[in-house]
Amino acid sequence: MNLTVALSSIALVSTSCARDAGWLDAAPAPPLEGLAVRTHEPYRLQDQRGQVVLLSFGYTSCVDVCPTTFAKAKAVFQHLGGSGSDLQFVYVTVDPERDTPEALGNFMARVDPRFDGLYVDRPRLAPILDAYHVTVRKRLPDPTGYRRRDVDPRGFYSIDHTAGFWGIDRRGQLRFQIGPETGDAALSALIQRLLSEAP
Amino acid sequence: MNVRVATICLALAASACSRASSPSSPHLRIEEPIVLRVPSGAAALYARVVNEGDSPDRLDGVNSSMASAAELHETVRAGTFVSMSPVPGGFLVAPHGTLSLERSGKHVMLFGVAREGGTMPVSLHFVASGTIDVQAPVRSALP
Repeated sequence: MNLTVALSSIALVSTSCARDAGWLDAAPAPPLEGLAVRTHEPYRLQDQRGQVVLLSFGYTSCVDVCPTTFAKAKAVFQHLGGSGSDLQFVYVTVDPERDTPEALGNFMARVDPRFDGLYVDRPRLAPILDAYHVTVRKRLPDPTGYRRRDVDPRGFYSIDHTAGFWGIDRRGQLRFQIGPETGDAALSALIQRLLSEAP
Repeated sequence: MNVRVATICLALAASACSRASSPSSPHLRIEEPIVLRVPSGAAALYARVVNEGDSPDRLDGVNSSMASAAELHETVRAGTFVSMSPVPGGFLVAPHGTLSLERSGKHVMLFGVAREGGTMPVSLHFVASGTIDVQAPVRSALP
């Protein structure tokens, strides 16, 4: 009886930890289509079955948070070594007006040649952001800040956005969403679990 | 004559006492300034502002001849939503305290930084201490 209680407690704790770690009830990942800037070919998430996909949303002028996202993704690939060949990291721009396919392509090549960027034009991007529960808010320049007089400040905007990672398993199921503060080891463990599962 | 000397001494003593009893000025030192830039030209200045004085100060403005725009920002997280809020009122530097301008926290946002490598001048304006100029190395923000 005591053993049963103990096992139940362990199971509950285990479930609780899994929830805390960002696991979701498995469900088909929302449709995601755009232009893969590394190959300049159309990309459809539903065509990636058999691969584990790690998604993130951001923009190339994001200077304070997104570089950390990339550092974590790099750490995951480094941690996985050869077993990371079935893993894709895809960065979806939330700023298609400035992040043209060419600009995003050059940027992603600079970040890591294993990573891909996804360009989705604004009309098709909106439902994708909704489906992945990504909030974006354009923040115009602060009028009290310093500006050189000979430049047009309208291009100097920031985009507040939902950050972190979304994990999609080999069967196209959205399995976790975790915040940007997640440690490298925790993120690697999540990915390893998805990679260990059969397609 | 002796009275006059005594009077002068008293005046000097009072002056010394007056200085001693009023708070001293903030005494600021900028440590390890660095500008981290992404290829679009957006960048952030990080540094530590150390106040060794007995009174507070406030960083309330910034500019640079090598940036098109500059603002004081603070990164704020609400769950997984991350925002960079301008802080026009600036940042307090407490007496004998340190203001850390750091990634995912308070920082100086810069726009239109043309290139990486070398250093760039940045002028930090403080309410009490006035302007302090620093030369910050410019590096890539990308890992």
